[in-house]
Amino acid sequence: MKPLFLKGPSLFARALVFGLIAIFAIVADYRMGWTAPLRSAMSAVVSPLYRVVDFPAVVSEWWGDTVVSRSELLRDNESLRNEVLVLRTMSQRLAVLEAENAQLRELLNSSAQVKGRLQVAELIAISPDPDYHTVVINSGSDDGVYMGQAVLDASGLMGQIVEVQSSFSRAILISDASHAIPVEVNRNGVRSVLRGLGRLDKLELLHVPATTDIQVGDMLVSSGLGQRFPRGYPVATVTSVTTDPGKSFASIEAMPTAELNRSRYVLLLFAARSVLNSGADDGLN
Amino acid sequence: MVSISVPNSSIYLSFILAYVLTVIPVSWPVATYMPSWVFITSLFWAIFFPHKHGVGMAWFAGLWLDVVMGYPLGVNAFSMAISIALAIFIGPRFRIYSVGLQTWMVFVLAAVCQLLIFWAKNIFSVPASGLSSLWGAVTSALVWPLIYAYLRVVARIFHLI
Repeated sequence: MKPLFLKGPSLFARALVFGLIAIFAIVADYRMGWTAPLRSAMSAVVSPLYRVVDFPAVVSEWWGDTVVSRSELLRDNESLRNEVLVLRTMSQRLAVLEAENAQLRELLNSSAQVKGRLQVAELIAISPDPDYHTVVINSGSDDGVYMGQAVLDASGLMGQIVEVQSSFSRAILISDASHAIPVEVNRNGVRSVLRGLGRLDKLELLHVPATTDIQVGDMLVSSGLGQRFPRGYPVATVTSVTTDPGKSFASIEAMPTAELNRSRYVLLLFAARSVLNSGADDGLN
Repeated sequence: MVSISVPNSSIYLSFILAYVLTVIPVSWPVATYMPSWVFITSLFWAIFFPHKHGVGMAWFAGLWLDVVMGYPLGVNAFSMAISIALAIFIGPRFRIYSVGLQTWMVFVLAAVCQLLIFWAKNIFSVPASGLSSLWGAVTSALVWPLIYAYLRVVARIFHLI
């Protein structure tokens, strides 16, 4: 016969126990970092989800590539050819500049700029929570992705890798409220730290004295300090400079140059690992 | 209704669908207004089949949601366990409400869930900004009549109700 009352602890006792376990889990995960193996095992289980969600995009892309009209192809070809011509002309100048740069560096007795290898990856998911600006990309440790790797798009720096699984990885964007990146002003080399505000179109420069020479429209590039991001990649453009005589620091806002909300393809920068591991001399170049 | 048996596979399938809906990439301004699919799914099973889907199941559903969303492990588990316990408590009354009243009740429960997430984030991990996540509770409530109608049809087909 079926019992009239269900046995076992009461509903709210169970809720209390599970709530306390959850709080312990949060602290163990976020503060202590004890649960990394568990998270990586669970992530491996959920990774097919991203593939399922990405499937329509893959199909439509394949369809778009397969079924293209002749005139469209011809038009694309022409515009691409023109673009190649323009880029070639520009890269000719770049070669000269690079050679000149190397000479000057030799004169200054400093080591050569480290060049990084780039690899294209595809964005397969973005965090469903506006408070966490993270994206999931379809390259993982199988492709050589590593923690702290810089992620770029065609127009600037996007963020860095914070979680690596075998077939995908998660990157935090520079606009996340918990992210900050050391930058310098391209025009005059003034250094500062650029912090995310949890908004896609606005970043903030920290602790800039009111008298510093920073103007609206200045380009901020990564400074390479902190030895996390390579030097010299565009990060943001200054959009407003407000100096209040009552405050010791100027309030300076900037807009990311990368299209954080639009890029579907991102670039992973494989910097020579020695930059990250060796002493400060190399990292600062 | 409580004594009718439900195949476990239907519960698992509905949760997989909810996770897929959760990870569909949308831009952040839109993401603010996305319903919490996993919470609604959990709510439906907890209210109509509490012997199948209790506090422990809700906790696990939340833990998987943490992994999927890249949260500190436990944030969603915490909020789901407590808000679903509340849902099971009011379940018998909820079942005899009209759909309009149910929608209102879903908003209250989803808002409780969002507030618990907000607290868990702020107290134990990353600071969260503002209460804009309550919009998710509003849309969760708005999709409830659709989900309720759909799942009732499914339940009729399988002679669950």
